[in-house]
This record gives sequence, structure tokens and C-alpha cells, in this order.
Amino acid sequence: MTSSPSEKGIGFGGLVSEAWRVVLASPVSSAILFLLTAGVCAFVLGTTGQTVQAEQSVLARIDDAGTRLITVTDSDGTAHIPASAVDRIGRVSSVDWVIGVGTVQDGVNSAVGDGGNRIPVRDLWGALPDGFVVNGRVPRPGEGLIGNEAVGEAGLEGPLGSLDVGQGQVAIVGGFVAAPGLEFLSSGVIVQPDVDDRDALLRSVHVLASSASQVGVVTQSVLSVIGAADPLALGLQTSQVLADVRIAVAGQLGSFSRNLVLVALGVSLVLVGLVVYGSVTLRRQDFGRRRALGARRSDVVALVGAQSGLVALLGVSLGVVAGSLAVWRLTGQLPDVPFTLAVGALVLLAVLVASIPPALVAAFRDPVRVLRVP
Amino acid sequence: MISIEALEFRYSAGSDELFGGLTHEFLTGAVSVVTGASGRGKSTLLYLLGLLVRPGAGSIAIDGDDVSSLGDGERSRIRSRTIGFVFQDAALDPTRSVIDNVVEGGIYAGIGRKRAESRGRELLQRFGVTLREDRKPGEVSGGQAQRVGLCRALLKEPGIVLADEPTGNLDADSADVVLAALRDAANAGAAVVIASHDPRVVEAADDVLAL
Repeated sequence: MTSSPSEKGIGFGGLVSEAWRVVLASPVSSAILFLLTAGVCAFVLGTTGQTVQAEQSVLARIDDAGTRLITVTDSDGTAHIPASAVDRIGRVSSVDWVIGVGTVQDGVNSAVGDGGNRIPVRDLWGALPDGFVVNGRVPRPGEGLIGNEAVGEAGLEGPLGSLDVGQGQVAIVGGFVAAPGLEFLSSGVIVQPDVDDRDALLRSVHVLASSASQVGVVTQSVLSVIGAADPLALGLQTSQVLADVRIAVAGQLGSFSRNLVLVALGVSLVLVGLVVYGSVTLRRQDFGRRRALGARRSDVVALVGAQSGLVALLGVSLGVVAGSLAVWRLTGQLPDVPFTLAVGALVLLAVLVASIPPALVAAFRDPVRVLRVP
Repeated sequence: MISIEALEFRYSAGSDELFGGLTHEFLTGAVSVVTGASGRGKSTLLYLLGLLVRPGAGSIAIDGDDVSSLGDGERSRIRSRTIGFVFQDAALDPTRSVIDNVVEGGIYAGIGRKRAESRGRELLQRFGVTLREDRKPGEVSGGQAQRVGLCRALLKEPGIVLADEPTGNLDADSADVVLAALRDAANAGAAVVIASHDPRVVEAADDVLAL
């Protein structure tokens, strides 16, 4: 025998190949499903994608205002915050970064001498946090960076030079622009202190919580590990109210986006179901013949699903491109890749789910009823 | 061999029972013809033999194995591998090409597409279907369409061939080709069962079952 049957039946490759041929042989229903899928995908991306962008923009602006920043101060120098507090606070969970700022001293441009303008010089404990823009190299202990606002005030032509501070000098090896919430540092010089100076005291500690919802918890943790000699003398500044607003805004916008996606998917489920059901009804003789030729019910379900899935895959591809372009046109930014992939996957899943009921109808239709010739 | 014993069937509870406890054997290597007036159940008997419906009573056995009580999946598996159907009106897919229609007879049996196309072209040539294989069924004559349906049924070289009025709307030449092909299938070892009231078919039969 040259064409004896095998035990594997139609197989996955045969199923996909046959489904693709059915797609090509049913141009009208395939085109409707293709356009419907592309439209739903583009709509969800174009609307929800824009909302997500707006949400991220609003949240970024709230974050810019220092939502997550916690500041502990020792205004009159009586609380005695040890420099070692920076290490302890850095080990608290949900802390993105922490810096400690030491006592302020006056500094004068060494090249000008005593007649020069006095600018504030502060020791800065801890690594420079994200958001600092440094122009120059990272300072070694005893060296400093000068804030962009202080360069002219100090009489320097650029962020290089030296300052007389007390009995010594500080070499300026670069400039910086301070991170949001720490702009007060930009008017002076920050110095990399000697890490062995265990007796150093801080005048303020600045901590960034990893999320707005953690601000309260992190604040409590900071106060418990800060190790100040007189905790009652500490001042505390947090943006708890702003953090609450951020959570509320994020929840509101997120809820709106989710509802929009759910409505779009629900509508597409119904429409896709109707299109596939219509196609299956028109092809009832086709399925009856296939059953007579040996297709199992599961083969019929798989064939309908694969046919819808292939068309939906093409539709989703077009919809993703169209929706992304729409978001880019409206906001100037492309939607996030994970968000885009998630929308595509959801629409594809919705099409497959919507195809199941019509596929079952086709699979369980009596083949004899459609094959009998009156 | 396919055999029926004490067969009874009705389409619905209120409809007439068709076979009255029919018992018969359709032999391997023979052309059997089921004949009788319209409405006596010729096509229905083929659907029963083709495992598309279950008997109301009695049994159907293929090579001695009772297949009438098997589940749908197993009956479909037997149908895909063992049974070739030739339908009354050819029942081709009007949206697909001639070669695609022929190949369809093998895809559920797991015959690879390339192998099926190669075998399909051999059969089309053998049965005188000379038109281009990318033509659609609507573009071919009734005789050519029935030959295409015959190629589809024989593609997997089935052990059982069931043909429902295969010469019903054909001219004499086309009918001769179809009958010769069915005779060849029987000579190759298939049990061929034809439902027909065409005298030419009855004359060519080895066995006649009148309903």
C-alpha cells in the first residue's frame, strides 16, 4: 500500500495546514473575523493604552513632587543622629535609597580667598541616589561635588577647583544636579566623608520608600533604627497625604482601564461568537462530510478553533501595530511592550474562547441529517 | 467482512422501523448491492454500516468485531482508516480545489499531505479526471465530480467502500468508469456495498440485498 493510514490521525501539523486552507477558502468570514479582531485590539490599545500612559504620566508627576521621600531632621543639633544610621536604614526593606547630610560649614573659593562668597559645604553619607546627575568623576573621601546653582556663586568657571573650609581644603572634582526633593543641596557643595569617622553626626536623613503605599511603614522603621540620642528632638517630614493621593489616583485610573478592557473583550466575545457561529452554520454540510470521512468531534472543535486562532493571530498583529501607532500619535510615546503583549494575548484568548461554543455545535451536529439527499 | 445481525433502526420514536431484524453478510472481495424502493432505508443502511448512526437493536460487526456499541471516537477512528464513502451527490467542498477534495479523504487517517496529493493525482488520472486539479467542483460536470468523490473514497485504500447511488446522475460512460473502479476495489480486497436501484449496478453485483 502506498498510502496506508497511520495511528496518529490528523496530527498538529495537518490540523494547522487544513485550518489555513479553510481560512483561505472562506474569505468572507475570515475577513470579518480578521477585521473584528484587529479592531478590538486596536481599540483596546488606543484607548486603554492612552489611559495607561496618562496614568503613568500623572503618577510620575506626583512622584516628582517627592511622594515617597521621608526626611528626618535635627534642626538645632540636639538630637544627635549618628552617621551609622545611614547603613542601618539602608538595610530596612522597602527602602530604595538613603542619604545622610552632615553639619553645614562655610566654604570659600581658594583662588579668591576670604573676600569670596561663602557657600554651604555638607558631608553626604551614603551613595548618591538615582536622579543625581553628576558632571565629573565620583569624589573620593575628602573631595566634593558642587551644585549647579553654586558654581557661579563660588566664583568658579566650572565644576572644578578647591574651597577653603575651616582649617582645610576641599577639592571640587565635578558638579551635580540634585534629585527631586533634594534641591536644597544644589546651592552648595557635597563632600564625600571619611567612612571611618564614626563620631560624625547628621543634621538630616533622607529616605526614599520603594512605593507610596510603604511610606508609613518605612517611616516607622526609620524612626526605630535611626539611633538618635534624643528622638524627641527629631523633626519629620513625609508626604503621606500625597502618597495617599497617589494610591487613590492609581487605583482610580487602573480601575477605569480594567473596566474598559473588560467591556471591549466582552463585546468582542459576543461578536466573534456570532461570526464563528454564522460561519459554522453556513458550513454544516462541510462538517457533516468531514465527520463521515473520519473526523472525530474533537477534530472538528480543533479545526474551528485553529481556523479562528490563525485569523485572530493575523488580526491581533495588525491591531497591535495600528493601536500602538494611535497611542504614539496621541501621546508621543509607544505603549509598554508587556502591556501591548498582554492586550494581544487577551484578545487572542477571547477569540479562542468565543469559538468554542460554535465549534461544539458543529461537532455535535448529526452528520446524517446534513448528508441525506431528499 | 462486514455483517449485520437482527438489525433494527428508526430515526425517531414516532417514525417507522426500517429493517425488521435484518441479518446479512457483506463479503470481502465482493460487490454487494442494496436495492429497493425509495424510502426503504438503502442510504440509512449505508450510514449504519459506516458507523455514522447506531442501530436501535441488533449489531454490526467488522471482521467479527462488534463495532455498533463503540464510542464516537473509536467509531470515527475506524471510519477514518477503514471506510471509504462515496456520497449520492459527490458531496464535494465547493470552496476547495479538486485535489484538496481528494486529499480530504486521507487527512483524518493521518496520511501526510504530500503522499496524499501524490496518490490523489494517480487516482484522478486513473479515473480519467483530466481537468486541472486547481479547479473548483462547481466548474466540473456531474460525472467528473462523482469520479472526484470516488478518488477521495479510495485514497486511503479502505477495507470497506460504501457508495450511495454512485451512478444516479451519470451518463453511461461515467457510470461504467465508476462501476469499474468499485469492482477494482473489491478485487483488491475491499468489501464494496452499493445502495442503488440502477439496473446496471444490480447486474454487476456479486450479491444483492433487497429491502
